Amino acid sequence: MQANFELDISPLVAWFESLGPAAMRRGVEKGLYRHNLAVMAKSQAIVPIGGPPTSPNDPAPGTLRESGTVLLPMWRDNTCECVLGYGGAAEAYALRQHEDLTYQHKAGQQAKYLEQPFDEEAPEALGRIADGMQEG
Amino acid sequence: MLADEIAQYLAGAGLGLVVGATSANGIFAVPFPIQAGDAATCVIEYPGLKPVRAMGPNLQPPIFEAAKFQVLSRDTPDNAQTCRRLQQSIWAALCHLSTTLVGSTGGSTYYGYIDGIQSAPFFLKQDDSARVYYVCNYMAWKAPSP
Repeated sequence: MQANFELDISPLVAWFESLGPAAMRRGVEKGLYRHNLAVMAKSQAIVPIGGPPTSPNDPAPGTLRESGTVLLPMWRDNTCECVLGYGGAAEAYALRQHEDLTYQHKAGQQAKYLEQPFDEEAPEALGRIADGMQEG
Repeated sequence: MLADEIAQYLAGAGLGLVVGATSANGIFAVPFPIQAGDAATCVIEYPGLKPVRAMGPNLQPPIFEAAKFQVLSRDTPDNAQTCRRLQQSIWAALCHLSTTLVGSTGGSTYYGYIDGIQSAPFFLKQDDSARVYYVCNYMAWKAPSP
């Protein structure tokens, strides 16, 4: 069985061209920033907080979670970079907490607290950028 | 299961690893058991990506999984270099691998492609006994394990 389709996307191309480079850049910035906010929101729900009973000697529970940051988009030539992550006061152990799958955590908290939300949200990234472009 | 198949493969890859050995150079398909020696390696699965499905009958399994796993090695502080070299050898044995692997319970699984998520293993930590830990994460595009 064979099915042939013809799809005329010239109106879509013309519409993108009509937006102009500045509007498209704004759309990319909006989309990427919103995407990273969504990743960070999911991450904040599972990032280890520390404290008793699993970390009874933790002097400042919640430091890692509070260090979660989403920076504003930055352009480098034609590449838009939007950085999110953890560190700051928790810099010494943020990576170790993320990578060590053998640590014991409280219910709902876990290692890979950034990679997993990033993977889960990845399919939505292009849609968010497209939405941003539509808004102009 | 993925961890079991990877552990079996690494044990046969000429790296001196022995599945379940508690004296030294044991490799385990679970996080380090209490009886594991100071020099040990373990394979730990963690959440990967959505599986790839194709049209088919009700409840047909995915045709491919995008699974992630971590290989973690530890050793005494005096053997930190040995531990790091072992991790590099594991990295070389896994990255760009396309093969069929057999688990300890029989059955075989096709692995289309394994690649390192990082470009090289990295130092993770020293534990309370001063043992050093090196680690690397991997992603496997594979058929579902039996």
